[in-house]
Formats: sequence, C-alpha cells, structure tokens
Amino acid sequence: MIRLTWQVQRVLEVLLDDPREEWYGLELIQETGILSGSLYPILMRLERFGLLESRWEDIDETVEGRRRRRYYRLTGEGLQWAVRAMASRREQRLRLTPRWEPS
Amino acid sequence: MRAAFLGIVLSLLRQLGLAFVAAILVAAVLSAVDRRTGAVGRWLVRVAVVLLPRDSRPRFREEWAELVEDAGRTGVRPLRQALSLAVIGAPRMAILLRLPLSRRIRVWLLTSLGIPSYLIALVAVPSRVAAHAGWESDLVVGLMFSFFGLSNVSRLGRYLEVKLNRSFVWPEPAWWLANPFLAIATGVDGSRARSGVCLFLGILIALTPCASLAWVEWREGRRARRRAAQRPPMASAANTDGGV
Repeated sequence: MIRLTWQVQRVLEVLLDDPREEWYGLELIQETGILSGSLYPILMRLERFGLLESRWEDIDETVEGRRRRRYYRLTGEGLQWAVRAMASRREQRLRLTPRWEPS
Repeated sequence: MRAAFLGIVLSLLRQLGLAFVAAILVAAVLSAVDRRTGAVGRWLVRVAVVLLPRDSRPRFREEWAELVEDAGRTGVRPLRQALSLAVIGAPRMAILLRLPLSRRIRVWLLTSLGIPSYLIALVAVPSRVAAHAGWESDLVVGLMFSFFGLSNVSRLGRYLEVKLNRSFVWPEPAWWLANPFLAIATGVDGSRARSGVCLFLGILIALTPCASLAWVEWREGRRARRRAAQRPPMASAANTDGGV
C-alpha cells in the first residue's frame, strides 16, 4: 500500500506523538527535518489513502497578518494503521539487530 | 586542416568561457535578488504549481505560498523550500495525481535510474561530507556551478563526436571534476540559498542538452520511419507476385 521509507516513518513518528494534535506544513518540516519537496508527496499519498485528513485554518487573514494554514491530522483508520506499521517496523529492526552477549 | 582545427579550438574556448562567465553571473544575480526580495522563491512556487493537475492548483498555490512566506524573510530558508518543491515535490505529485499505478511504476523506475540516483550518489552523499567539513565560499559556489556547466558541454561534445564521426578535444577531466565539486557546492550549510540556486540551474543546464539530444533523436527517428513508409514494400510485393 504505502512504502514505509524512513521519511514516511519520520512523519508518522511526529504525527503519533500526539494523534489529536494538528500540524501545518512548516511545523512538520521543522519537526521531521524533511524538506518540503519530499514531505508534501508523502502527505498527499497518506491523504489519498484516507489515513490523513486536512483542513484550512479558519482565520481572518487581514487581522492575523498572514495567510491561512492547512492543518493535517491522522484519521482514526490512519492512527490504527500507523501504530501497526511502526510496531512491525520496530519488530523488523529488532530482528535484524545482532545481539551481542558477553562471553 | 589547420583552419578547421583552429575553428574547433576557438568554438570550444567560447563555449567554455560562456559556461564559466554565464554561470558565475547568473548564480550571483539570482542569489542577490533572492536575498533582497525573495522573488525567486515565490516564482519557483508559481512554476511548481503549474506542474500539478488543474483542480489541485489553487490548494497548493495557497499552501505552498504560505509555506515559503512562513519560512522567513532571510532569503535562505524560503528559497530552499521553494526549490525543493519545484525540483522534487511538484514533479512527484504531478505523477502521483495524474497517472494510474501501473504507469507510475514505469515512470518511477525510469526516473529512479536517472536523475535521483545521480543526485544521491554524486551530490547528496558528498555534500553531507562537505557540510561536515564546513567548506563555504561564494567564489567556490560559483566555480563549482561553472564546472557543472562545463561537464555538460563535455557531454554534448561526446554526442557530437559520435554523430559527426569526428574526433574533438573535449575537456573530459572536467566531467569527472564537476560532480564532486557540485556536491560540495550544494552541501555548504551557510549558503544554502546560493547553492540551491546553483543546483537548480545546474539541473536545468543538465537537462537542456539532454532535451535537445532527445529532440534530435526523435526527429531523426521520425524521418527514418517516414522514409521507410514511403519505400515500396519490396519483399511482400515479390511474395504476392509469386503467390499469384
């Protein structure tokens, strides 16, 4: 469905930190360390699969003195999927990590 | 013979000179404009949005303009984000939004073997090393970019050698020098805006000869197909005659 690249994992990690919180583009860029060119296709893909939802900020732009932002948040289905995906990835990583035992 | 050799040398010198001078000038002007006004970043976003399907444009035009403005007014971070959107994000999303999965896989395979692998292997990895080393200088960035331009002159030269069946003296070592130097230019932490502009122009310069070569190949192929279509089908005519 969606390839779990390290960038997708990074985005999911941030979104899973507090699933109820909404994030806008620059915040996600700063938090994940991923450039916009890579971040937006990821958000777009997650949104198309119904794992992410987005909405425009409801503000008066002239009063605030800035443009409105678009906020992103995991959907219920997206939250379940993200938790499962990250858990399976952690499991895989553990399996691949060599265990050193003291002799 | 001597006149022909001299002509080749002169044209080569002109091309090299142009590659150096134009590259340094363009890089310097664009970086100065963006530092003062941020106009380059805004223009890049507008260009990037054009790549997307018509119904998605308004949303991303607004969202990305907000992102670039939000990134600050110093001219460094906004331009970096805008470049990233224009060079990487928008083309990827254009594919994602337009093509069905089977075609997306084909496009992905083609592009993954081309520019991205080149950028990762020869630009991204060495650029990290250079960033850690802390190399930074306007002059270095300008020179690196001009080396990249030079390398493409060299690539075009090799193509012409094959096409014209003539041997020229092309600055082949420049090709090998260009990539690590460009990598250094793009990885310098303190001057990301300038190096970003260099990378963007470098990609444009890299693609221009490729596009022109592809066009020449396509035109020649079309001519060959036309010639083949106009030729009478000899073998099949003989078979038909024999059959009758």
